[in-house]
Amino acid sequence: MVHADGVFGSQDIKLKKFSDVAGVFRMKDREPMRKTLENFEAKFPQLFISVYLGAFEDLSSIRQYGFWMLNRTHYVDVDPQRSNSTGILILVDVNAKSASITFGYALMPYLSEETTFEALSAGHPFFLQGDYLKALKAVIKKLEVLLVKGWKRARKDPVKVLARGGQTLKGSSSEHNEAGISELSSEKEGEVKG
Amino acid sequence: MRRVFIFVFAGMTLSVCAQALREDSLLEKDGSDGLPEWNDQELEALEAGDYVPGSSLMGKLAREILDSETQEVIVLDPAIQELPEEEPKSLEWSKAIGEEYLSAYFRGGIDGYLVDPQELLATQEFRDREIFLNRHAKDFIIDCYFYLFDGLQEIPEEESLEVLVKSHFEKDNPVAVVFYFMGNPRRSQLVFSNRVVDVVRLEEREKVLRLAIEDALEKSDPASQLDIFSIKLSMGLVKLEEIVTKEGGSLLGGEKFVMDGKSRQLPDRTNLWDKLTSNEWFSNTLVGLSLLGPTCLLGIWVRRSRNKGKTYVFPVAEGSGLLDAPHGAGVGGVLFFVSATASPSSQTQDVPDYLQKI
Repeated sequence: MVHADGVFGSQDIKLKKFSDVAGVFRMKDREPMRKTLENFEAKFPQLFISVYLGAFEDLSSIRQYGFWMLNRTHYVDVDPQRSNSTGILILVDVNAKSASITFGYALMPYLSEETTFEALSAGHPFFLQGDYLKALKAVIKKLEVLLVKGWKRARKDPVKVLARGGQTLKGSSSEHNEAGISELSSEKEGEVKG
Repeated sequence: MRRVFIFVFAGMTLSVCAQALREDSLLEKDGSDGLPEWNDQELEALEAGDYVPGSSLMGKLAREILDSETQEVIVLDPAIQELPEEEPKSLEWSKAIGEEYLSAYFRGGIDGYLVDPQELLATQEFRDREIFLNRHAKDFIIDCYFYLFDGLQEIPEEESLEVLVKSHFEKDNPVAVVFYFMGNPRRSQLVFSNRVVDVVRLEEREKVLRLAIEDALEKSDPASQLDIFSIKLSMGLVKLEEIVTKEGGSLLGGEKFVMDGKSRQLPDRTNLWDKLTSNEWFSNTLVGLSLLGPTCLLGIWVRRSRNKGKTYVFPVAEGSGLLDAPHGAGVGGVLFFVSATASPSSQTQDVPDYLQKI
């Protein structure tokens, strides 16, 4: 983090969860994008997704920038109960034609580099066409599928699933939440509202 | 490769040797090649034009005309020219069955399964059909008798197929008797003996004749039509036997069954669907599937509509941070979409060194 701060700065920044700095979204496409993000939050009440589209001139590593951004950004339009550790950042560099996904600690048991790459691949045809709305929708849809699968696994054996992400079920360990991993919800574990 | 070369070389060597031996054998000991030679007398006659090679094969008349050196036209003998042309048989004549044949058809004893006193079939054709009907009679329960008539011939009013069956065939024998009109299978008549009549539904019996006629009509040659007709009829009778075996039957009088005008149009050919639906297992399966399909669709719809409003809450976890990052160090995938031809997997980016340790 220190290295990333050295490259991009150590000050926090404020952003909305959907930021089209590159200006590639038409006005009419922005609302559907926001709606998609809201639907995600409704489906996963502890999580959120942030989308940032930038046109970077000289970005050495999009992954590094995503890592820095997730940790340094204060999302002004995200429910404060959903900390960045429950967030998924989709970062798109329209100049370099690259996209990356970065996710918080809470999602480490459910997502990985491979699965997030799968999610990005789902939007690949649309990225190629420059249809960013469709591309991001496809990516988010795939992320939802992955998270539902992870939720099912966690429902069966939460301890094992959390251990994959280097975490423990709250209450089963004496360790403290040193890194500020959010206590996701007061609801019963694995509960499904319908 | 070497082996192939050796084989080719050996073959060529043998071929050359064989050629040399053959040339040697063709030469006579006296050095001649064994072919006939002109003698001096024939050679002179040939050169003078008195001898025509092959003339012995040409016949006397042709030889004389050739020798006469005149351009005489060969004309037919007046006796042959004046032969009266054969007049076509009148329609009236072709409809009538000769008196001499009536007894063979309707009053004679049963002599074989194929009755053709007018010799409408060639000998070989007759034998083939007779063998077929004999085999059918040997292998199956319902014997099949064929009475052959010409296509336009009319059965005398005082005679009928029903009467023939009653008078010539035993009631207890399961028998199918056919009046078949050569080249005109649509006119075919079929009568079953009493044993068969009521144990099999009329439509089933009709179907036997109908299918036989339909298949026969696909052929244009009368003999081929008869072949197909008899084969199809035989198959139909086998099917009826299955029904008889299944259901049993009562003895009733034979009834003549002739295709009526409408049926001759043959509109409702039994297709694969009819065959399949008559199969009990298939019908049950079809009913099951017809119920299962909508049920599955309904289930999927219910599941989707339930999932639509479903929310997923993850277990509350705790753990230690990584890389001094306050919120996350989830190293996700990176995708490049520069090239439309390269696959997404070939456009990934390696993890930077500083993140490898995560």
